[in-house]
Amino acid sequence: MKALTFAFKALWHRKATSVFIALIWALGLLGLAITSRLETNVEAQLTRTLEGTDLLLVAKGSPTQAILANVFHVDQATGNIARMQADKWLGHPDLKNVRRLAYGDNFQGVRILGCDSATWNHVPVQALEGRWPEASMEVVISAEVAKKTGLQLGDEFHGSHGTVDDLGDHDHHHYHVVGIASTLAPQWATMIWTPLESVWDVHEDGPEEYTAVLAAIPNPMTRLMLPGQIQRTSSLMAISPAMEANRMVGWMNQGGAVLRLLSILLTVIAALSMFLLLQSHIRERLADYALVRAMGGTWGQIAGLVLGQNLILALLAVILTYLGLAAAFGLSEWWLPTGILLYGDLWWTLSQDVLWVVLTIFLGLFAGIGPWIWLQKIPLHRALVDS
Amino acid sequence: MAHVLHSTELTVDLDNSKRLIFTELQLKKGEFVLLQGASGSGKSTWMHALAGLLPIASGTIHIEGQGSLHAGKKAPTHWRRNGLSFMPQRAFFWNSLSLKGNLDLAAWCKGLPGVDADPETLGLAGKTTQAAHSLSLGEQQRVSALRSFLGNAPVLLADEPTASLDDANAEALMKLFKEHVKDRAILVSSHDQRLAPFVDRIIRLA
Repeated sequence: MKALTFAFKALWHRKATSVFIALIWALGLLGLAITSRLETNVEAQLTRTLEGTDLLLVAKGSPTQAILANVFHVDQATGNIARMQADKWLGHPDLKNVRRLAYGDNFQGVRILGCDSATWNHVPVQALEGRWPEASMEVVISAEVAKKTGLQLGDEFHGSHGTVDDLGDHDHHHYHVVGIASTLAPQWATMIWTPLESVWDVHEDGPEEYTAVLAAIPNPMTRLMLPGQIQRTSSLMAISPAMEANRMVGWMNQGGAVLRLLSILLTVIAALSMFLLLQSHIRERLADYALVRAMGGTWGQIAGLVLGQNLILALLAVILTYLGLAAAFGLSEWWLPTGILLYGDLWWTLSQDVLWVVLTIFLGLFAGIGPWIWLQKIPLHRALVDS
Repeated sequence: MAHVLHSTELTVDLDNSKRLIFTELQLKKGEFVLLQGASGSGKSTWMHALAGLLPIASGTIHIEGQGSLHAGKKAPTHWRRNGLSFMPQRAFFWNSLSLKGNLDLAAWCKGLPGVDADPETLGLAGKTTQAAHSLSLGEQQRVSALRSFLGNAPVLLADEPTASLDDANAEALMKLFKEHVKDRAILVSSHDQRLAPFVDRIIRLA
């Protein structure tokens, strides 16, 4: 313990360099820790969001865009599909929990989602003020929308055409707010729900269309076969979101690998700097260490002083990394793309850090072994006379 | 009286292939001895050899209670920890530590539970938390002497301790040695003529 006190004071005496090295090291570790946490969180979010959605029927286009638009609600839809054409498949006995969506208009930039009750029953709601819609033109808004637009229970409003504002108003159709729902699920945070009929009534001149149909397929064989069958026999695009999600995770992991490589590089640079710092410190203060020997200090005690300095730097880097992780978690809404959610339980699972924490401490000690061995080769007599 | 240190004739090989031969030496408990010689005469080399910091090519050094150090062997740690204290010419201090911190470090090196000496008795009241290297040269040498008294080793070897001190500081340091000599033998190497009146015996190195 005494050795660590002396080692700490030796580091404190050159605190600017010490903190700088710990910071570089912490940046490397932070890169590694954040990359793996993001991968785990996004993968978990994909899995949790896609749960119960084994089939997605949409107009032909990009499958990724279709998933982003109709499951995560963050992108523009690929187009619409005719109700008649989709309904033919909805009677399939293996399709469960069918959810039909029809994107209609927007209110002050917020999407108005036409859907059936199966959709809002699928929304993880924390609290509902009022009730879910029972008739056309009734809407439930999310708590965030209520805050953003100032809409309250009982209010009426009319939507603007399309999913972006100012494309023309449907001012002869009024939506009526009958409920306000609070949800933590990011894909539902900014949303206005209304029955499908509302969207069709507003666009009374056009054909009845869906933007997408989502369904669960509990039967694994049907889950595998049905999307291909629909693709071959109709003009619809049938997507298996789980497979698309695997592909998305694959891309993400490639990006993660690049980040991880950069982080490892930073960590190696920090370890090398620490080795050089210790080496130059010992060369500069050679007589100090020779004196410790001359006063009866053992090589074990000198190891405590030398390796202790690196151990403290390594622990400081670990502490700084966790501070960085706490800051990244707390400020996530500032730097994370919209729609991505961090799960506290996954972020703070410390068992995932055991490897890098142990490696950091090992690397710190390892970087001190060289200077310690070098010190043993210096004749004490010369060190005391030449200094 | 028993000898606390007994050294046979020693030979030391230097890096430049030069060989130095030192005569037999005996120190008794309570004896204050001055090793006098001109600069370059080999005083420091002898002191380092006796302290086990420099290997000896032939001869034996015996310290009471610590056994013998033979030619070609490295001094065991307990030799420097319990057998003798060595005070280098320059008072080396860890500049990251205060005066008290440096004494704590020395006590830790010797395996002592704490510092059994009070620097305030040396006129350093209020300076114990100051960085040791910020003290005056005289103060530094007195602290260095105090550091070498820790642990009560039977032999104290002080290499040129007054080399850079004025008369007053040199006298204060020699008085300090005299106060502490009764429990140990002190061998001081120096070319300084001012030290002769304080010692019991003088060994002249040609």
